[in-house]
Amino acid sequence: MPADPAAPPPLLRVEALTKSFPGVIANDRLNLEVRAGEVHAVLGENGAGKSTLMNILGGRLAPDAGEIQWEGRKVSLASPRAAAALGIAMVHQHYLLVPRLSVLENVTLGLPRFARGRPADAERRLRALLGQFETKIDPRQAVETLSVGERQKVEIIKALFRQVRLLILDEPTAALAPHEARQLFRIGRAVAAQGNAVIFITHRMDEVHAFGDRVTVLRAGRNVGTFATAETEPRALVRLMVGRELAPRSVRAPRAPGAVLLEAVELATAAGEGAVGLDRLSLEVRAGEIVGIAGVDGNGQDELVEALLGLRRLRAGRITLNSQDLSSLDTAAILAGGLGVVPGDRHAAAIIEDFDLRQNVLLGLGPTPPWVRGGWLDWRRIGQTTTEIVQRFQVRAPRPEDPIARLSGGHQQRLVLGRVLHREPRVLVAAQPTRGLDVGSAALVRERLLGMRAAGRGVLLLSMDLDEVLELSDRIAVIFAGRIIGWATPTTSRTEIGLLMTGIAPRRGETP
Amino acid sequence: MSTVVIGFLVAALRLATPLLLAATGELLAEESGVLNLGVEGMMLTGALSGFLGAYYTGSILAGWLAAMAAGAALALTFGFFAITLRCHQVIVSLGLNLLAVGGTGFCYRTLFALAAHTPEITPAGPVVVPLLGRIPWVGPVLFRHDVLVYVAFLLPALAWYFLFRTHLGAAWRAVGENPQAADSQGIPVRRMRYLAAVTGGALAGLAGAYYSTVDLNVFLEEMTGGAGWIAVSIVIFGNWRPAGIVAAALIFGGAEALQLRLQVAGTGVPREFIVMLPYLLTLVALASKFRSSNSPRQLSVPYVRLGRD
Amino acid sequence: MRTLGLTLLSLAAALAAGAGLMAAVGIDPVTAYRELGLGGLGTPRNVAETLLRFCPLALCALAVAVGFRASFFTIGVEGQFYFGALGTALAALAFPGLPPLILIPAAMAAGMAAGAVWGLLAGWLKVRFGVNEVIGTLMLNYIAVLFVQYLLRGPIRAPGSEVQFTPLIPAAAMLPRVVPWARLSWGIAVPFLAGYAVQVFQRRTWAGFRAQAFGANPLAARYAGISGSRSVLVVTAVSGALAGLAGALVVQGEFHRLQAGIGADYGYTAIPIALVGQTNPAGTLVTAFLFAAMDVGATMMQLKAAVPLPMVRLLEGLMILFVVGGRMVLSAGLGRRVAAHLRPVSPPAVPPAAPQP
Repeated sequence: MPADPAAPPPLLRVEALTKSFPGVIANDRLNLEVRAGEVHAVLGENGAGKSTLMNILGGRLAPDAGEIQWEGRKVSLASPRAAAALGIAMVHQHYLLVPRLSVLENVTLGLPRFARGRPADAERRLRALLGQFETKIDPRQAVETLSVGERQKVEIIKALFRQVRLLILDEPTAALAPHEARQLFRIGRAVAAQGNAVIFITHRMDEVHAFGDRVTVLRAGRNVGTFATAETEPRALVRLMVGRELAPRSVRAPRAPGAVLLEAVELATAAGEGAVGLDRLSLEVRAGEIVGIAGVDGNGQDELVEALLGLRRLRAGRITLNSQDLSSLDTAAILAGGLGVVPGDRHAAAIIEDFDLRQNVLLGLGPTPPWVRGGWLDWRRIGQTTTEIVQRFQVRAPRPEDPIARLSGGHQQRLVLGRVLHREPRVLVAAQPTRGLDVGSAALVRERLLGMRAAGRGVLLLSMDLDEVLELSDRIAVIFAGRIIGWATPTTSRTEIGLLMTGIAPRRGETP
Repeated sequence: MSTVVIGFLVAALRLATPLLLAATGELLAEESGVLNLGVEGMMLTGALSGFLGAYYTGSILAGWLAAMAAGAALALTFGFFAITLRCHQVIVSLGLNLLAVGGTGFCYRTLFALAAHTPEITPAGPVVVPLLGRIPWVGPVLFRHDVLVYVAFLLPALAWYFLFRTHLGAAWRAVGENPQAADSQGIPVRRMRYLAAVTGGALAGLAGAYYSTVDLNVFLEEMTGGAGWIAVSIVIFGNWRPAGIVAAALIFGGAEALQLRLQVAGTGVPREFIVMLPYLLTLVALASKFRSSNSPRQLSVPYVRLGRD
Repeated sequence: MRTLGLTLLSLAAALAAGAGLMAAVGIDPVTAYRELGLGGLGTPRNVAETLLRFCPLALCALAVAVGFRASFFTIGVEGQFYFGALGTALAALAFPGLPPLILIPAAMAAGMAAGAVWGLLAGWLKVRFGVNEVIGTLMLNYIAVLFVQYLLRGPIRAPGSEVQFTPLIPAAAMLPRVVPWARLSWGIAVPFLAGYAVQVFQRRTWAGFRAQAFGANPLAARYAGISGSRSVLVVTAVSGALAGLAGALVVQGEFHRLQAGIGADYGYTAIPIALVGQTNPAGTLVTAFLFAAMDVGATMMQLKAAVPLPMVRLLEGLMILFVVGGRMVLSAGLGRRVAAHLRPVSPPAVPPAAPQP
């Protein structure tokens, strides 16, 4: 769209921005233009360079080349402070709040005296903002007592408390229920309407059209197109985003469910600091099926995985695998008993970055023969198995002794999946198995999950990506507040599932 | 009998003073995420510097300032290694301790190698608070002390107010709890941690000077005798709260005072067990408090800012 | 290899800094260092003395290294050393009639057991109560040293003696001298055997792997079914046993009794040694030897070159800072978040027989 020559310069213009890291060019001569008064969506899949761009705009990263103009003037965003001085506020995907400090202290953190005023005034302003969001949060509360959704609101309020001119939202609705997301959009529009601008990063098409005025599609570090959202349609945007036609949903042969492999009956765990307690959660996974768990993050998914693995004590309930009671066993015994896991946070819980491939494989294999005999390690065997896994899962790694840190995220995940499948578990618990992966690795992971299904095993899939859950699952359990609030099938409408996700079961006859 | 008790209480306060000074400094450092185990070295350096300052200028105050400067300088070095270079803070602390032991010994021997007898200074005398100092019982115990004693017991209150009631204090704590968050709000994490380390070092230096200018009037090699480690324990025992630290310091001081008296009195309880008591108590405190520990979450974790260094 | 070169460079830089300091106060650094070197390694007698000092230092450093590799930042080696010395002395004194072939290893084993128990206590406190090990082991140090002090003052003091030491242990418990003209005993073999054992433990056993995995990423270890508790307990027992062994050697090979001050801060000096040596056995032993030589040579340096004794501590402090600082400067460019000298894990290379894809 040609710009009106008589109009004032755009609020933000980025020209030929380039930033690379070892081995990858994150932003490749990227151009972007954001106008005052608009809500600008940035669409792209993983690795497209969205986060890097946002971090540069937020002053947290220095670009290698390129120019940034603010209201027509060239600027250098040398630090978060410099960005903040211009009025750029970032709301991060992973909230940056200080748990032990109060909401008020968090919101006013780092503000000079003139910006925050006297303590009483600051508190009053904060209460007003909190009221706008319709929350019951008390400014004096410690942030660590807030729920995930509430913390995100505080994050946004933090940005609004400063005189924000450009609000950058990074995947803001990841942990929000649909009605909370709508609330967020309303506030975002209000911010834009005052002559400011909002950029938001997303991979959700519905948000692009619901929230954005214009959308920029990023792919492989470049801007492959900027459009008015009213003039484009999803298919075209997706094609630009992935660079090819989206394959149609994989057709699965319907299967008759087999015997019950994994059964969780009325699981209850204690609620902790920020952790939801499981509340009489029951589900079952049968042979030859994939059970998907849909739900807004923070409703007990992590706790469920931990409970199944014996990492979280059960207050009540029972878990059986192949009719064996797991409830009192430790993790090692549970893994040996036929339960496999792909942990949700790969870096934190699945791999050891300082170790090499063999050691990481050993980690997953455990102290069993033939790799460990009588407490002694057989590195030759371990190396052989590693090579096997590398080949079978097409992991791009020259040698088994290479440090695992050299692999990209997708290939690390391949190794993780490979090592757990090597033990041939009866039931695989896969938490966020394709999060953050490149397209090829994600496809391979999904393929192998379906392979487990075909082989008559069971898969429990937990994913924040509802599309993935819909695509892979035979049955879908919706988790809310620590229990399974309802079941669905791949053909159930997204709206119905969405309602379940916020704890609302639709009444008959009502349109959601 | 009453004189014995008063004597004991006075001694307890005096023995607690350097511990409390150093512990308050350490608390401030730790609240911003800096685990400074080099307190011992900074105290020792402060002891020597305080002594030298008083010796060469004749003014005790000059000695104290010199001690604080020396402690701060050592802390600055610690900061360079631990904050800028991001080395492991425990290791750097231990290295600095060795440096301090060696450095103070070397310095002292070089300066006074040819001295005929041990160099001495005139120690600061106690400052009696007018009126209050004359109250029977309470007066001698609380109001007839050297200046540093008053400072040591007032400082924790100031620290409390600073940390929990001021804006800068909130930023200070944020740096120790979640430096990423603080950084994203434009708070200069590194600078603040340097400041925290230096503050801790200065107070540790002052605490060390207590030994050589108030308690005694000479400098002896390794005269702090592990007090720095006790100061670190006090912060933990006190669960990172100024009030707790005062209590903990008094317990450690009290135990030392008690065992000295028992040594003379010759009762049945072996004095080693009395000295052992605070350490056991610290362990017990640690074992029972860990669930609600107030330790800063990012204590001793170097802060890495994404992409820019 | 690169880190080794860097380490040597850092040590050289530290020595240079020390030389500058000495020159600034009028001491000739060349003479000083020459006397330091000769004092430590110049004559066979000096070498023997260095090796004598090296024994307990090396074992203590190994103890620290084992702990640190599992992310158990123990500074409790000092206390475990004392308990080990106590255990050995008591065991030796309790069974004077046994022949050397039995008594020597038995007393040594008693020392190791005593050290292991004290180490386990620290581990148990961490596992059961979450007690931070840095402060926990520090507290246990004080308690151990004070306890031994108490015993030496009274209950186990040699009767009729004014000095605070135990009676001499029976000759059957003493480790024989290597040569008659030096105090060095055959205990010198122990650090090397221990170093090898630690190497095997860390690279070839599941227990060693598990401990290092837990040390590197406790959460991933737990998800893999590794019990953090068991890892920590095993490591603290092993670490304590090594420290106790150091104490045993000092009693059986050097002083032949338990006396005050027998520890000579080995437990604390061992920590920087383990770290300079990158917590792997070979590096640790070499660094321990270096520091031992410096300690022994310090007396010579004071005597012949008029360098005050504390200078050695100063040099040691400089060495630690330079090595540690140098490593971080090097690794800063790699953007690693973990200090390189704490976790350079490297299992044995794949033997040539294994086919490579």
